[in-house]
Amino acid sequence: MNTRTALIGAGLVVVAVVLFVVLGGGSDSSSNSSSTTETAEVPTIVVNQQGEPVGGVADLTYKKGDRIHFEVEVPFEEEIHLHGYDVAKEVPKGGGTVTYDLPAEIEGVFEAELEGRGEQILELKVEP
Amino acid sequence: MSFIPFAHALAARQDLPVPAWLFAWAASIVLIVSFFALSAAWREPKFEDEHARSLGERLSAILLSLPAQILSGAIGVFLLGVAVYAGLEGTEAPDRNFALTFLFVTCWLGFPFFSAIFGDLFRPFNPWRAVGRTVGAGFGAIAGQRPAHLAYPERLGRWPAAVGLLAVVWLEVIYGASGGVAVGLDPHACAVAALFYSVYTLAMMAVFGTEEWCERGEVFSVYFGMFGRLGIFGSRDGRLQRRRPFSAATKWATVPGSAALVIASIASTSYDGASEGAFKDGIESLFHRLADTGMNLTTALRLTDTIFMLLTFAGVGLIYLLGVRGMRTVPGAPSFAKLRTGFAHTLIPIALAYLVAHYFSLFVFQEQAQFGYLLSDPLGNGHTDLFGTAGSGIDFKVLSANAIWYVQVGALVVGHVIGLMLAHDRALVYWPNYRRATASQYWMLAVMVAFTCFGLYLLSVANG
Repeated sequence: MNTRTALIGAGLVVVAVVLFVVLGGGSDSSSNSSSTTETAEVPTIVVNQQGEPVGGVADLTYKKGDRIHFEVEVPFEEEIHLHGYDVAKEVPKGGGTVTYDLPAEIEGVFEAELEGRGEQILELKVEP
Repeated sequence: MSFIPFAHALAARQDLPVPAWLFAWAASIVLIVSFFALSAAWREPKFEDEHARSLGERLSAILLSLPAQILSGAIGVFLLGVAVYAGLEGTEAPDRNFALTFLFVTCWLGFPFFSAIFGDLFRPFNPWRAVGRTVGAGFGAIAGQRPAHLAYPERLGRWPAAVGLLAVVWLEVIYGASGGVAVGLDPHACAVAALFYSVYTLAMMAVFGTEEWCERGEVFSVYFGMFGRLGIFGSRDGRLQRRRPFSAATKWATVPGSAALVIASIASTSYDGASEGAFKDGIESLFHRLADTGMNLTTALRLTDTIFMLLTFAGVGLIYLLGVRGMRTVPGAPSFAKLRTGFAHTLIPIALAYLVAHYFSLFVFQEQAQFGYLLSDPLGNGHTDLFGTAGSGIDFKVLSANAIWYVQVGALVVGHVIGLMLAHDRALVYWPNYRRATASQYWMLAVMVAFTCFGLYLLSVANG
């Protein structure tokens, strides 16, 4: 066996191992996940008096073409801003709940935040 | 507690992690290409000579004329002035202020991207060089002699630029991430930093000379110039030249500190990408430990990030030095120092690939803002509409997730191939014996595969 054959053979073995390990061992992590409080099937992000999302920053994943649908419950006056999709909703004085219901048409990772406080409350993923 | 890396402050859309199947295919292609390169590479150096051809006297006379130099320098000074003014007087919203996008996206990413194709594009527009040359010429006209400068310490080499590069990235991705406040780097701080840097740079130019400092210590000249060595255009003896791609890079790393600079480039991009994915848990863990000691939250976060950034720099440097150490074991090898310096330029394509992979989408999205609403309303306060585009936005649909993934992976694979080519070429210079040259490249191949696969891994866990 000459050097060239040995190199190509070694390369193919390594490639086979990589493919086996990565493809065989990898699991699809794209399933929908959420750290929100689920109420009547619509994920709800609850913000406490300190302006932080209860349970940490929520994590929602959709496929392109789905409908993005969630609610945000805030106990004080604020503006909720879903970046990328650029949708802002006002929470009135005394607090309240706002609903987001829109088509998932832009792929990527986006944040929703309490605009006034600059606090992130949601990481939204839209996959192809 | 919010972790808001720089990109989050500007770009409303982040990249999805590269899927496992694409990661596997890309890693496989990298390995196949690597082994093929070792088994079928050429036997004579191809890039050591630039094979430069003059572009024509008339074109050189126009583009390199004094009026053209004055005009391009004035444009650079003017744009820096606009950025500083916007930072000081404009809105504090990072995405609405001209300063951040212009300095950290248009310039910081645009000059490397385009210089890697066309040659060093920053040099004619360098505002500090323009001021330094103007002051030097004025001094000469008044005093009747050239200004006297201190001799630049040879051992210092490009170390000031390497340290400066880390400082710029630190300002960009760490200083702005103040604990619990989702602002990123604010435009005012950015403008103040630009002013401080201007004073520092002009002082260094006064001490060591404008061209000397631009060649060795001025961060942006050295950093952008490094990528410009990959490009096809350059100038020599007052003439514009077209040269073989990548060939000018072979003479770049002759100055001490060059290896540190390119390692700093790879490390800083790696850190920025890893802080949103691979390092996220580690950063949070150390941050909480420091915070539990009673340390101020902002200080704790910046200290944590700084530690991880320096560890990344050390890790990238260690991998490179291990490869160099390995090459040293091949009979007939030059000294360790010569190998360390002699192969540093082979990392430039890797550094560029990291930049493209991590910031390509940010560049495409933010340039829509740059040439849209930021150009018409630089201060971002809604009071001006210079070109009628103040109401424009960013079309995030212009790039699909698939398109971004393929560009990211393609950049890393292409960077890997070019790095291997340059390394093989240099090995043929140091080891005229082909078999020994090839043997030495097992080590550099391991280094390149490590960097490329690490880059792919970072993309696969980014924003995950």
